[in-house]
Amino acid sequence: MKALLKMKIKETAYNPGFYITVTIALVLSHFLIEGFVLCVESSGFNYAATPLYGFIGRTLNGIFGPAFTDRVFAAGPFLFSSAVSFALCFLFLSIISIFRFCFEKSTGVIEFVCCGPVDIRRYGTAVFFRDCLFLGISSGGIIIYNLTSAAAANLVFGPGDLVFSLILMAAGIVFFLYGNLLSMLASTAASALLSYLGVFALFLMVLTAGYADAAGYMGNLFQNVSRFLQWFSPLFYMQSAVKAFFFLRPLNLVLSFLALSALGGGIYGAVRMAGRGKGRFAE
Amino acid sequence: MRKSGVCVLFCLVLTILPVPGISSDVSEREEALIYSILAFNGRDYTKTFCREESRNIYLIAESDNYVILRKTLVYFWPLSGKWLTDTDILNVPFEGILEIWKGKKMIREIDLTQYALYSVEDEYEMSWRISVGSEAETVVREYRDSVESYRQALAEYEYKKAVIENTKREIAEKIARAQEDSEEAEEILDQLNELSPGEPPEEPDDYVMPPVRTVTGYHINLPSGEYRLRFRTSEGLIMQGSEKNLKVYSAETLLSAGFEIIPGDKWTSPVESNSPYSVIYVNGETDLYIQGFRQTAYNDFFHEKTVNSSGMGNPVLSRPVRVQQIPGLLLEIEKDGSPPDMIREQPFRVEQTEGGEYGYTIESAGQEEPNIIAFPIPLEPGDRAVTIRLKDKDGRSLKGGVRKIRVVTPSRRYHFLLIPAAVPLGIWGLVMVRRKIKRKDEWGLSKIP
Amino acid sequence: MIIKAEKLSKTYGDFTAVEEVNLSISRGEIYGFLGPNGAGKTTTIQILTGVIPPTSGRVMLFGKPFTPENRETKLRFGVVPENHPSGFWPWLTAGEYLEFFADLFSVPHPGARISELLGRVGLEKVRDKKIREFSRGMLQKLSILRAVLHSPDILFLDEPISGLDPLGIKQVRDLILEENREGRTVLVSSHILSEVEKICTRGAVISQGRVRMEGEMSRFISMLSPEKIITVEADEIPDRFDRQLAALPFVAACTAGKKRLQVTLSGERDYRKELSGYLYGQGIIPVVFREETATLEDAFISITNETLERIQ
Repeated sequence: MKALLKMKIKETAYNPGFYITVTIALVLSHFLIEGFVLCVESSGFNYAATPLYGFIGRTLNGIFGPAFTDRVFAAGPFLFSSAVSFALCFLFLSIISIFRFCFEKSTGVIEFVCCGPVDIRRYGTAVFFRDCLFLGISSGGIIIYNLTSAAAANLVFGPGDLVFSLILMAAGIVFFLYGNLLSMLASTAASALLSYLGVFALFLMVLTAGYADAAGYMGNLFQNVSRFLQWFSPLFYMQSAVKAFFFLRPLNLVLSFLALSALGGGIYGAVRMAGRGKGRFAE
Repeated sequence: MRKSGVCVLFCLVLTILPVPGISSDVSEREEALIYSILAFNGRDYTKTFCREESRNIYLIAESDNYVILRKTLVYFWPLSGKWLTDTDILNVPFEGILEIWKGKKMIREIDLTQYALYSVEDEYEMSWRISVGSEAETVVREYRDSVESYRQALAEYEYKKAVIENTKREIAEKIARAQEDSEEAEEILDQLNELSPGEPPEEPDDYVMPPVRTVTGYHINLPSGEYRLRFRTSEGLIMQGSEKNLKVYSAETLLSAGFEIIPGDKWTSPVESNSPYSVIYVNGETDLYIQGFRQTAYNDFFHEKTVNSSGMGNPVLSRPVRVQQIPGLLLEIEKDGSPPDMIREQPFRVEQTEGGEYGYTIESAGQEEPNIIAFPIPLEPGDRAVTIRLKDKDGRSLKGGVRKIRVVTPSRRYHFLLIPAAVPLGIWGLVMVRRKIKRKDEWGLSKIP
Repeated sequence: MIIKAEKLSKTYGDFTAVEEVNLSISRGEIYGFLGPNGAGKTTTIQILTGVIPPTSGRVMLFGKPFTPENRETKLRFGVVPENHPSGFWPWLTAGEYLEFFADLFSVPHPGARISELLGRVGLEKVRDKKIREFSRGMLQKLSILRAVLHSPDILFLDEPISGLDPLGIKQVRDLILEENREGRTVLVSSHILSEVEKICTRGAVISQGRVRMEGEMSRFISMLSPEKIITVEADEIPDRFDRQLAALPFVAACTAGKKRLQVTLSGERDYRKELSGYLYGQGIIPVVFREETATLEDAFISITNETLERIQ
């Protein structure tokens, strides 16, 4: 598997797409940070001061409420800019990975490689580790860039921002496993991508199921379903970890990470089971 | 798999579809059975109501809250985005017993109570009070009596004043006539000066919001937990539609310190810094005036539901609620690594700029009535980082009472930060060059016999 | 037996791709596996190499039962599939392609081995060329190099020379023969029968998922094409001599050209002596007396059409 992993790393490392995506992510981060600075007034940060942040603030208020917006920008721009940059890199890596895996499956590449001393499960594992590595690299790049910007603009990049980046990475890794599983099960790249985006959207809906109580119209069914589904959602554990951090509950933070790891382990087991017995892929 | 992907998206669409769009039109007034709620919100009281469609009521634990079941008209007001009642047209309160259930056991039966809500001036903030039962009646009666006394006194004063005005007019005529005789005129002037209706009566100012009347309601004060409530009529029947879930919740963080930042150039627009993680970013163009206050934090979703049952909060976050400005504090200031300084709150006065210029200055109040009592943080050009710490009079740090202030100014040199953003592309170039060199090296080596 | 397949079957729903296939291949053999398109050759090879599991039956490699999880066994054979996958990492150069597989199979001194192999098939100059720019033939050669890179004990070659020019065919043939000389067992599946005839000693013919015949190549030909065709060339051949010959009891048919006769002798036994005796008796001195052996193609066509039922 080492040889496979090396090759998969080279595959991404030689691909300009990854570097372009990270560059775009950093440029976005730059504009968000600079925009934040422009919104600083004599009494503090006011998102309505510029059109860009006015739009961002109103959008976040509308979706998550004013308390969320205040919390996001309480310590500076880095929570939001990190999330945006990270999301871009994560989506690129996950979508490309799923697409490429399914493409290789359907064109017989995996079958070809599996003529050697590997099987599809090892292949999938190599892909997963590659994705994690590049997610780590891009996250590291984003953190370093944010530190540089903080130093240049006299902003604070604190431990909260760092912990948040780690939480994002952990949740992203589990989503990679979901992508791996769906790639293993799907017959075409389109169906795998569709399912992946569907799962992602489903977990976002589960996250907002708490709002279902607002008007009572969604009914018990979705709430009960959400209560069950949330245990499979990386976003749920991510939310718990963020909450634990801001409420200074280190034990809860550690438990959230452990739970996320357990979920990841479970999905990985499912990936391995899905890969068992898969041989002829090029129909 | 494609089918399953489509199915997942289809299900998602189905879950979104039932979401009722908020109409931009005023809805029809509809008769509804509601619970009017006087809820404690952490600092004072909020009046809200629970619609018939809502299944839950949210209240803060270990606090006095009052509810009353009534039939009224309910409608949606798009300008504020809120549901409102029209009790002027229809208002039928019900009298009976409010049952509180926990699980399958009824734990309380609550009768109607009379209460009066009012607030008084406190040292720094308003202080809300609720008087119950006979005390409520007494307070209301006393207030009404004081108002009545004031009105009488005012009427007398007005009468006296009118009489004096009339007398002054007569005297003025006399002065006009006696202008030739300056001695008489002087005498008359002396008489004029002696005339005074006296001091006007003082309005009763014991209250900021006075106890104008008593109100009836069911008093709820419960520990945190999940309950159910329902209304039982005097005939012993449970009123249909009166059953609600009752979620009683406690504060997520007990009293901690928050900061109110008053900028020198917008002293009427202070902002709050509630979270200990927050950083106060300012542009350094003006001095700052800081006040410390106590705050509690509640779950944002629950708290929003308490103050506005049709509102939406975030179930993950906490909402700070300012309780009271803290008297007698000290503030330690540390600027750019230099030794810390300890200061006290000072009184300041806002003076309008004289002349044609528009503006004001904030100066030390001296003996005059202050507009602001706060800690001054002077900011100078070149200041970058200031750390402030709230301490009590014994020098102990307050929980959550530390903040960093950073002076941030836009600068063209930030554009140079776009250069490091291009580093990944440079890395790609290096990777490709290394790949080429590696290939050449290997090819070169392999050619060696 | 280094490769043994016992009653291998593979079904996909109602469709039976391979049915009760039995194969036995000894160490050091070059074994030909023949059949028309859709006969089940590729499916059989995929089962033998562990790419797909059989519905029933078992595979024995190196005397032990083989399953796809046997990583150690997989290190001991190399596979050239029928079609090189079109999406296979086209950004790799030929050198990187082989380096990857060398790494995968833990080949010692990979640089030297790769250079040697590239030289053997004339690809040394395109080592740094990306494989997306390779022609089909070049890819096929590269695939074969990949299969032999780790010096496996067994080679499974599915249509190894398809898409190759004559020089390429020769290079590959030489490579296969050289590998065989070094002790490798080779299983070659092909429909280019002339090549199979040249290199294989034993083989099997599969049709509609079933093995129709297995054995020595020469036995196929002799069994199924008993009649001998003799070409005789002489300075003078009398007119209507072909009719005269055709009347002979041991001559099945005869055609005559200007100085040439093509005589089909009856397959009951070898009648070449009788023929030559007759010709001399008639005063015809053959300048050329050549036996035209039936080709494997002829045998193949015979085997795979329905008249095979007669032979069985």
